[in-house]
Amino acid sequence: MRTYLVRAVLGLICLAVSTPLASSQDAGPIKIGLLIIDSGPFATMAKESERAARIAVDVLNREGGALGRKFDLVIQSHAGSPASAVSAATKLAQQAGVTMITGAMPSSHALALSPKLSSLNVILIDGFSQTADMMTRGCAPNYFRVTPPDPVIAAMMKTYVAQSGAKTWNLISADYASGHTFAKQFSEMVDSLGGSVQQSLFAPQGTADYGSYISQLAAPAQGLMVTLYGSDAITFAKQQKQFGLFDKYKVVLGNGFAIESQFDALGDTVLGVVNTLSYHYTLPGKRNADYVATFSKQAGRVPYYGDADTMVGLELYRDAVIKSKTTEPAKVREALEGLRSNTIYGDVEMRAADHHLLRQLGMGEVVRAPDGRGVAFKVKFLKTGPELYPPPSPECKVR
Amino acid sequence: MSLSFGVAQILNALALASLITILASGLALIFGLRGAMNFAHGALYMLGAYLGYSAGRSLGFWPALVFVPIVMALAGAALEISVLRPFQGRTPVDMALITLGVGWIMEPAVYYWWGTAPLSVDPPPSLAGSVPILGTMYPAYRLFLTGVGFGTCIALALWLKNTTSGMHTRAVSHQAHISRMMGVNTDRLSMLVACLGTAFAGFAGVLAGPYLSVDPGMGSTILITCLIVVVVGGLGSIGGAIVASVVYGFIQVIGAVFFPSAAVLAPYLLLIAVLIWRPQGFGRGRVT
Amino acid sequence: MNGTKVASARLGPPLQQRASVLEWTRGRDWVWPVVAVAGAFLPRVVTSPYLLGLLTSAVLLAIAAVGLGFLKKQCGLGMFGVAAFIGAPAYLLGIAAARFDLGTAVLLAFLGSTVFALLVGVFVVRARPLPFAMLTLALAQMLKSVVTLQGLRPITGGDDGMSMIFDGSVFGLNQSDLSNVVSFWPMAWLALCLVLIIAHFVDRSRLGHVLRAIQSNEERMRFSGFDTYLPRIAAFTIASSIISISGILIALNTAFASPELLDFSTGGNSLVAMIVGGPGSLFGPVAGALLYQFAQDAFGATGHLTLFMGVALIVVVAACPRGIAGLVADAASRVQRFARKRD
Repeated sequence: MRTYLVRAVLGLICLAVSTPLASSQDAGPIKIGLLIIDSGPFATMAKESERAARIAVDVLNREGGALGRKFDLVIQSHAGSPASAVSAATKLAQQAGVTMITGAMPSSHALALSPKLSSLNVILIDGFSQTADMMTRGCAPNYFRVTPPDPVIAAMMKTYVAQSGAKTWNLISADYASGHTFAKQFSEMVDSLGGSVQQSLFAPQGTADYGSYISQLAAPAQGLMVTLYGSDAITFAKQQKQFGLFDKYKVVLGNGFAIESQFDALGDTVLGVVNTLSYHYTLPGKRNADYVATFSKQAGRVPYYGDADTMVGLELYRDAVIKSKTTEPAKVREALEGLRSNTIYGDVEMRAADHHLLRQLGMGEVVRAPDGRGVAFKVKFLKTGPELYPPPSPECKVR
Repeated sequence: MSLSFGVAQILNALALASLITILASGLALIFGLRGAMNFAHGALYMLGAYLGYSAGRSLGFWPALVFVPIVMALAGAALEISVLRPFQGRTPVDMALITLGVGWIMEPAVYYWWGTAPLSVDPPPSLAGSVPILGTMYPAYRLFLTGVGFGTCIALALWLKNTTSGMHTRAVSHQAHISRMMGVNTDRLSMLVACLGTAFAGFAGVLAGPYLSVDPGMGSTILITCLIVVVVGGLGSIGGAIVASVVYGFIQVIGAVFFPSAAVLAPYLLLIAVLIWRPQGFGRGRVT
Repeated sequence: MNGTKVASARLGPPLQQRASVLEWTRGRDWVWPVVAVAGAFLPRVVTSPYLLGLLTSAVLLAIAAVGLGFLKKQCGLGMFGVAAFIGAPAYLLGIAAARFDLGTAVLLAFLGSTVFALLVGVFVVRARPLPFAMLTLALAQMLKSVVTLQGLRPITGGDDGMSMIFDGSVFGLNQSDLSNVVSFWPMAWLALCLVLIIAHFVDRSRLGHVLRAIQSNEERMRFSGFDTYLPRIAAFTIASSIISISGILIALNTAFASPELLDFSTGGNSLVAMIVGGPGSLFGPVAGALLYQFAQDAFGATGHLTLFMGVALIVVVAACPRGIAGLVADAASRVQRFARKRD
């Protein structure tokens, strides 16, 4: 009897709710979906990600939106697994009626989402993941990425590594797919310069005690390359300081290791580290200056690379919608391919063959902040280098 | 591998073991007395660490080290009154589920209060540097941690062996009915043990701050480790828990050096191996 | 045989006294096939793909919860590490699907999980309930670590997970049918009906009676000449196979397997669903799964969901150990007794 009741009630609810949703794609605000993760290691970015998106939408709306319509942000948080990312994206596309999705997505999420995008009829602009896979097997017609992938980062570092004069290197990387690919590419790059990699260690994510790694890294070499992220980066930095590890090296490089959003927690433990830098608020250009001013006023701090990547993704979407004169994903996708635009990153191009943005990349040294208390970046160099990008892979299928 | 490298690794293993020991002892105590496997232990450890962060900033490290366990003992009293005592007749699995629920409530509360960003706690200036040990420079804080960790366990063992309440604790965990008939106030004892157990968890949390990091995932990661250590050591046996923590510490550290990618499996293989060979674990059963 | 119902405080009053769906349908056995067939046509009524997707997830969760409930009821064992039997079959399917056609892959995945359950059961089924729970939890975590090993990355996809490409079809559905909720629903629904049938008939069979008797007093059963070990292995294997069905269906629907499937929180979902629904009854876990899925959707933000799960778990274990099913059954029997008094 109870089962019958349950079914009857459920049936009534279904009938009530199953009226087809008005697609409202031709009038009313243009809906943009934002995926945020609020549990697990990526949860720390949830609030920042949301704020960056809101500010970006605000800026674009003040510039007039697109096609006479304003942008509207729809936020969907999820547990942080690839499956939950797909459910969240499905909810955004089918229930909320968004035409574009962006947000924090580690490589595993990007890989899980990209095959589903066509059936969901929604465009995804990835401003987060770094895996090289999204340039090869992860490609999809509706998938676009603005962040520089690992091979490009390794290529960018080549000049700097050559200049640094360090010939022997030790590596410590996250025991993650991305950690391994980057370590491999960095090692190849060092070999090509005539140097050598002595130790390449991998630490599982969530390692509590880096003591044994630090002891192994005490074996002398001239340069140290650290590819650890998030709370692992903080733990490692703090522990190495107690052992005095970085002082033993002529040069310490970081990839995603010493990042501005964690400077408060990292503090002095990363002084002197030269880290990859994909954006700095001092980037020249009027659009960037205006953006930095608006962002600083609303957020109380300058924008970091995550905020900027969110902004540029939305900027490109706006430009593509205007160019294609519709929000219909199939047409917007065509407009995005090969799109050249003036953005906060200056003049950039969305490469048509593999949907990747040709944009700036560089390195910054961690120095004492001007106010004398915390730490900040001193930009070593930050420029656009299309030559850094490998030619589009034949594995990439965007048609 | 040089001597100094070997020495450093042994010290690393002992530091990790000492932290786990404090936690595992607390867990074993509560289990020994109430038969309840406290699945909220990880969350309590996390709460201790976050409190340690805040207390450290406003009061300083040393006051925090005293203040936080006291606060956590109060939390333990609350746990005892609201959860452990009312449900003491329930099956162990029910108790485990209830404490699991408590843990699930505590975690979002911590995120709500402190946010989800990882926090950094510095060691006090007196312990911030390294000292020379057998040819290598080793962080002073870790030596401190090792000393405190094992010292706490020795103190606990002495308490159990030489004091009246310690004796009562051992008695109740062996035969609760008979102890009550002999006049032991089991409720008061249980309150004492619950407070002690949670204070230990909080103490471990404060100590962990400068050693590891304070981040949202720390509770769940350490819980599994503690459960394995307590089961391997013999449910309820403090001595067993200590031995198991040391074994665990060494396996982790040596694994990280020789088989880093597979080292994560070591604790589980240890659990399986021990349970096949000696199903009741190392120790001699209830709180000994 | 109609007698020997093991009456204990945990399982509620004897079946004859307790109002239940099964009571009401005694003599009305035609209800079941009708409901089973009718349910398969749900997509005609529910046209919103999003709602249908939610219901599908609820059904898949329910299958796992039914397996858990079966184990709890027959052996008194709560498996904390249920994620092991959701994730392992999913990965087995992915690994097999890369090498064989879909039908064979599904078969291999199911057989592999069953054999795995058998091997695990041999070791763990004799443990007391609490160590059993902890062992299964450790097993799930261990599998999660194994699956993320860098060395195994070519086979398991490592921490990125494994996307699957299916060659061929199973029960007439190919990859795109399987990922489409409308065509996938009948399969999920019928699988739920199947596991409910299995759980029900084993419960009423001799094996079920033996198991519950063992739960009540193992020593006496042994002295009476019963083997107390093999029946429990059988129960564990059956329960794990039911849970594996859930894992395989999830993998078929999403064409994806990732380490998060093996995480405790995934298992925690079905565990909570089972407990909230009520392990003693047949449909309790189903109700629990429905409630859980809709709560998860409503709460969205996981922080609140964890809080809700914690509160629900405590309230249910403390106050209503027989879950929603128990509450409803008690209410219904009170109504029945009231109605009878009035006659």
